[in-house]
Amino acid sequence: MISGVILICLAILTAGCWDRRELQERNFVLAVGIDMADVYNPIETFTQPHGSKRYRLSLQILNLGTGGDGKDKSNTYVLSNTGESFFEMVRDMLGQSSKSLWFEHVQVIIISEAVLRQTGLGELLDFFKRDSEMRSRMHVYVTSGEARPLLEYIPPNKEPGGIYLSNIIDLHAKNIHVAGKRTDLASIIRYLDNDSNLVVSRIEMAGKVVKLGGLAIFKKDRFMGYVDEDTVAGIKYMFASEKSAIVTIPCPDHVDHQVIFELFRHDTRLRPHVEGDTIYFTLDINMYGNIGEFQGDTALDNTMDPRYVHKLENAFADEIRRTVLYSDRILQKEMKVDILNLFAAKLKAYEPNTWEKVKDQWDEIYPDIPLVISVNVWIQNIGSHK
Amino acid sequence: MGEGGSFVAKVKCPTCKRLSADMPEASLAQAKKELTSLRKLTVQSARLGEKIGQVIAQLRQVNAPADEPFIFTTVLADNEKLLRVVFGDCGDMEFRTFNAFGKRALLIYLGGMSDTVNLETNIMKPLMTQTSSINSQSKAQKSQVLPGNMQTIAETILGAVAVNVVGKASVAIEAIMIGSALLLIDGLAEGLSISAAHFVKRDISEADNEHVLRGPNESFNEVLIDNIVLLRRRTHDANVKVKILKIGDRSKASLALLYVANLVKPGLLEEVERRLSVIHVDKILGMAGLEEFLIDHPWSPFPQTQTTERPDKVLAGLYEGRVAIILDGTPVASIVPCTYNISMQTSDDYNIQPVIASSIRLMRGIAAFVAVYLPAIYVAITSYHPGMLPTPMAISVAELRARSPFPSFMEAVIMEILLEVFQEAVVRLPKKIAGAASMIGALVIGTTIVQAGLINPLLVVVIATTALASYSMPSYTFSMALRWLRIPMLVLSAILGLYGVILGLLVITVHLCSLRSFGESYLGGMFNVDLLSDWKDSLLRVPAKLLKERPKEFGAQDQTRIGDRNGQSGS
Amino acid sequence: MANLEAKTYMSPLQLGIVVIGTCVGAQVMLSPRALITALEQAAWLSIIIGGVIFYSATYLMLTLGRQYPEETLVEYAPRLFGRLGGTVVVVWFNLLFFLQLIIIFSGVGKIITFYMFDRTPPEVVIMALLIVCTYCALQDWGTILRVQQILFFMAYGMLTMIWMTSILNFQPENMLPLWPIKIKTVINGGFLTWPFYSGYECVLLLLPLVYRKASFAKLAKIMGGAFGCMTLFFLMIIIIIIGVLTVENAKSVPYPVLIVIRSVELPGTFIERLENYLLLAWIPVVFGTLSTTMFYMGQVCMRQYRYADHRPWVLVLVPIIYMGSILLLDDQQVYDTVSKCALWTGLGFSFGVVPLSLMLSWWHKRKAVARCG
Repeated sequence: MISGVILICLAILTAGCWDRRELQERNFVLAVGIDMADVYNPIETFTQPHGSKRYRLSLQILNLGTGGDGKDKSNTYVLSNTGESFFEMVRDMLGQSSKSLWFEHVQVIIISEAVLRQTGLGELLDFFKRDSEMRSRMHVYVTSGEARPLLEYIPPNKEPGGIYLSNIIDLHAKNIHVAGKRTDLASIIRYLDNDSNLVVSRIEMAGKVVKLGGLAIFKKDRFMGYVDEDTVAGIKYMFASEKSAIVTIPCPDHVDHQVIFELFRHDTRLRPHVEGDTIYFTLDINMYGNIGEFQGDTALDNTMDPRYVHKLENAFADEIRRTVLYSDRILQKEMKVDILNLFAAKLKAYEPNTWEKVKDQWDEIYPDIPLVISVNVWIQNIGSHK
Repeated sequence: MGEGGSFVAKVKCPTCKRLSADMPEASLAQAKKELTSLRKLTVQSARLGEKIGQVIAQLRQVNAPADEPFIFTTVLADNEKLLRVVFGDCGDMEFRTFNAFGKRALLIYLGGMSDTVNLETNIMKPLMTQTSSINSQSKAQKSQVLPGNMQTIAETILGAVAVNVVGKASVAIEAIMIGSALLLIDGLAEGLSISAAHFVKRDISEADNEHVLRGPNESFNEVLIDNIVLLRRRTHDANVKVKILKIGDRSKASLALLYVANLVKPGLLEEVERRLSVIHVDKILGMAGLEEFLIDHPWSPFPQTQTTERPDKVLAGLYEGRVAIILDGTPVASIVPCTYNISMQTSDDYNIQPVIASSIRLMRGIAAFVAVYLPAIYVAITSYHPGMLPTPMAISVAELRARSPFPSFMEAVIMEILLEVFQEAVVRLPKKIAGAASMIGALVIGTTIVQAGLINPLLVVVIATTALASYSMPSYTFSMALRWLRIPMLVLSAILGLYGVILGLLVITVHLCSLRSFGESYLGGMFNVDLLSDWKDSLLRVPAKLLKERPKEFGAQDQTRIGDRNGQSGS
Repeated sequence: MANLEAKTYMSPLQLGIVVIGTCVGAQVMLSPRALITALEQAAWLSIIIGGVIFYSATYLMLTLGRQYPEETLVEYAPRLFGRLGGTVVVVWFNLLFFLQLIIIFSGVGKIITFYMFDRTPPEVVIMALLIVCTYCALQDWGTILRVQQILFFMAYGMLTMIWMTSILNFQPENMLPLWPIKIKTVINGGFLTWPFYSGYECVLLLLPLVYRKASFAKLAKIMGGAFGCMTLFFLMIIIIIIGVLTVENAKSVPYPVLIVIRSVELPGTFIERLENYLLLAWIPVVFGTLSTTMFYMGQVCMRQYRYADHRPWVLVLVPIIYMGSILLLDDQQVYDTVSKCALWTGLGFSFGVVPLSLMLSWWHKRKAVARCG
C-alpha cells in the first residue's frame, strides 16, 4: 500500500512538468503583420501540399538584451514566412527561431489592404480567435501599404515596437479621429458572430512617421473602403463613444478665424421610432464643454458676453449636426453600410416586432431610413483668459 | 572417554585408527584440558553464588514489601548501612551524624541542593540542644526522653516549616533526590524529610522568544514552584487549582496541571490526566517530548498545543476554560487545547488600539499565506503562466532571468537550501562569531550571488519576503510548520503550475480542518457560522468593552467574563 | 456550546451552506452555452423559473424527510417501495451523483487543459483533482462541514469578486429585448436549468444530521434563502454573459464565461489574463462540489450495505469515477448523451420518485392509523 503510493508520487514527479518552459526561453511575439505574398525571400517559405502562397506572415519578436549597451540596436526584430495557413506558417517559422514563439503578449495585428481586398477578415483572424494563447484584447489595424515595414519601425522612445503601436489606440478616448472602442479582437469576433459590419482603425506610415487616423469600413467582413477623419467624428457622435472631442468652427462674425470647443461630457441617445410602416431614428445630443481655443480678436468678439457665448453654442451645435449628417450620408448613401449594425441593433432592442418583419430586408431598407438629429451645446467655461 | 565410543561403532571406518587424526578436538589431551577448566568455572560460580546469597541475605534481613528496597527499622546503624548501599557511589551525598536525646541521629542531604543554614539553625541546633540540656541539667530534673514518634518531634522541637514524616524507604529516597534532607534518629522507625531545597537557578528574566512591546516581560524559569508563583501573583482567585503529578518512570519529574475549577471545559481535565497516566517512559526532558504523547495527530506538522514562556498568556488561557501544563526543568508552559486562532495571536494585540490591532491581525493572516506560497507562486508564474504578468513586467523579468543558467525551480530550491542553512547556522553560532556570519550571509545571499549570475534578483526578493513573513508569526512552532510546508508547495507548483498550488492549498485546508486538539477542531472556529460571534476576537480585535463573552469554541462553563453571580469567587 | 467531538449535528444555516456548496459547482462554467443556445434572450427568465421549480422539489424532499426523522432515503426507501423498488430507488439516487461526478470531472479536465496548460494531458489534471477530492471525502462529516464553510466564504467570495469585474464591459442593450416572445420555451427552459441546480438531492441524506430542535418552517425558510442566493448567482452569470457577449457570440464559444473574462481590462492595474484568476478561484468551488458528492456516494453505499464506515466505499469508487471521466473525455457525443441522461435522471428523480414516495408514505401512514383506529 505504501509502496503503491510512493510509486504514484514518483511517477507524477518524474513524468510531470509537460508545460514548464522558462520565461527567458520563450520568444515574445509583440506584433503580427499580414501581407500579400508578392515579394518575399525564397528561404522564408516551405513546400505546401495544398493551397498556394497567398499570405506573408511577419512576426515582431522581442530581443532580450542584457540592457545598457547598443544604443542603435533595436530591441525587436522581424521574422516572416509565406504560405496559406497561419498555423502552419507559425510552426514553420520555428525553423528560423532559436526559442519557441510565444503569443500571449501579442499587442497588435496589422493587415494590409491588399490582403483584405482578396479575403474576408473573418478567415484571416480565425487562427487568432481559436488558439488559447491569444489575448482577446489585441488591437487590429489596417494599413494601405505593407504591414512589414510597420513592424520594423523603431519608435523614437525605444519602446518595443508592438507596445508602442498598441498604445497609440489607447488614446482614442481623447482623439475623435480615431475610433478605438470596439475594434479589439474580442469585439471583432463578437460582431462577426452577429453578422455585423466591421470597422477597423487605419494606420499609415510614411518615412519615419507613423500615424493612426481614419477608419476602414467592411461589409460583413469584406473590405469596402476608407472614411476620413470627419466621418469618424460623426460616427463617434452617433455611437456616443467619445470622451472628449474638439469641434472647430469659423468664428460666426469673422469667418477667417476659428473657435474651438472642447467637449467634456455628453448625453447622447439614439432611438428608433416606428409609425405605421415608417421607421426613422432620432439622435439627441447634449454636449457640455469649454471653449478650447479662440483665434479671433476678443476685442471684437467678447467671449464674456453671454449672448455671444449663446451664439457660439448654436454655431457649435450646427457644426455637430453637419458632421453627423455628413457621416450619415457617406455611410448610408455612398457606402450603404450600417456600421456595427448600430441601427439594426437599436431597432431589435426597442421594437422587436418590427425587427422581426424587416430583418431580412434590412440591407435594402437601411439606406432610406431618415435620421433626425437634435443637438444642444452648453459652454460651461471659457478658460483662464477671456 | 575412549576414542570412538558406541555412537561411532556403526560407521565402517577400516582405515582410521584414532578419531583425533581426523578431528583434532576429539583428542584425549584436549578433552582433559577442557574438563579442568570446566571444573574451575563451576567452583568459581559456586563461590560467586554464595557471595551473592550473602549480600542478599545482608540486604534482606527483614521482610520488605515487593516494591520497596527495604524498610526502616529502629536501629539507626542498619538504616544507615542500607542507605549507604543505595547511595553507593553518590559522592555528593552527605551523611551527618550527631546526638539528639542522647541517641545517635543522622542527617542525610544532597550537597549543594539543601539550605545548610536552615538545617543547622532549625534542625540540628534544636535537636542538639536537647542533648546538651540533658547534660547540663541537674539530675533532679527529669531528663528529656525521646518522644515516641517523629511527628511529636516535628511539632514540638523542630523549627523548620516544611516537614514530612516518611515511613517508606522509596518515599524517603525520592525526597532526598528532590533536595530535602532526611532525619533519622536511633530508636524511631520513621524518618523526617525536611524541604530546605536551595539550589542554583536562573533568575526571572525577559522572554527570549515572545517579546512584547507594551506589556509585562517576565518569563518562566526552570523551577516549577517559581513558575506557579508567577501565576499566583497575577490572579488571586482561589479557583485556580494546581494538581501536581510525577512523570517519568526513572526520572520522576514533577508536573503541574493548572486550571480554573468553575470555568474549565467539562471533561477536559480528566482527558489530560488520562493521557498523562498512560505515558511510560524513563525520562521526560522537555515540554516538547511530553507534548508528543498528548496530541492526537503526531504526524501533522502543525503544533497542537500552545507553548509559551509568559505567565500572562497562560493566565489568559486558563480563563478561557483551558488547562495549562508546566514541567519542572523547562521554562515553557503548554496550554491545551490549541486552535489556529490561538497560534496567530500575540499579547501585543491587546496592548494597542483595537482598529490597529485588527488590521495587524488580518495582515498576519496574509503573511502566513505569503510565507507558504510565495516561492511556489513565483515558480508557477515564471515557468507555467507568464501570460499573467503584464507585458512590460514580463519583459523586465525575462531580461533579469536571461543571465541565470538554472530553471526557476532549481533556483528556488537552491535559495531555499541556502536560507535554511543560514537560519540553522544563526541559531547555533556562538555570540562572538555572529557578526561575521551575518555579514557573510548578507553578501552571499544578497549581492554577490546575483552578481555572479547564479540567481536573479527577483528571486532574492521573493525569498527574503518569504523568510520575513515566516518570522512574523507569533508562535515559533507554527512558523516552523509554515517553513516546512513551503517545500511540498514548491514541488507541486513545479509539476502542475498554479493548478498545483491551488490543489496544495485545498489539501492543506482539508488537513487543517481535520486536526483536532483535545476535541476542539483546529480550524473549525474560523468560519463556523454557528460560532460567528467568535470572530470578535479571532479575525479582528474589537474593543474590550465588546469582548464580554468568552470564545464559544472552548466551551467554558460560564460564558460571560464577569465573576460569579453572587459576586464571590470562592466556591 | 462548544464544537466538541464528531460533529453529528448541524444547524439549518449550515445545511443551507452545504447545499449551496454542492449545487453551485462546475456547471457554472460548463452549462451556460447549452442554456443560451436553447433559450437565447430569455435565458435569465428560465433561471428564475428553474429556481422556483427546484425549490418546490426541495420542499417536497423536506416534507418527505420530516416523515422519517433520523433516517435517510436509503433506509426508508425499501419500506416504501418494497425490497426491489427500494434498491432501484437507491441505485437511481446514487446514479444521479455518479453521472454528475463524471461529467464535472471530464469537463474540468478539458477546460483546465485547454486554458491553463498547453501539453499536459487531461488525465493528469483529472487524477490530481481526484486525489485531492478523495482525501477530503475520506474525512468525517465534521471536517467536510468545516471545509464547506471555509470555501463558502473564501472561494465564492473571490469568484464573485472576479466575476464582477466584467461589469466594466457590460452593455445593457445587448440584453434587450428582455421579454421573450414564446412563453412555452421559457417554461421548458426552466427544466433545462437542472444542471445548474443539481445537487440539492443531498438534502435527503443530510436531514437527519440537522438539529432535532430545528422547526420545519425554519428549515424551509433557510432552504428558500439558499435557493434565492443560488438563483441570484446564476442570474448574475447569465445576465453578464449575455450583456457582454451578445447571444450570437455566446452561442459560438464553448465556454462563454471565460471569453467574458478575457476581454475585461481593468483600468490602471497590471492584472492580465483574468481568466486564469477566474479558473483559480473556480477550482475550489468545483472541489467543494466534488468532494461532497463523493462523500454522499460513499454514505449511500455504506448505508445500503450496512457498513460502519464510508471510507472503503469511497476508495472503491475512485477508479470507477476515473474510468468514467476518461471515457467522457475523448468523445463529445458520449459526453452529450451522458449529459442528457443525467438531466432525465435528475428530473425523473425530483418530479417522479419524490412525489411518489411522499404519496406512498402518506398512504402508509393512513393505513397504519386506520389499522390502529
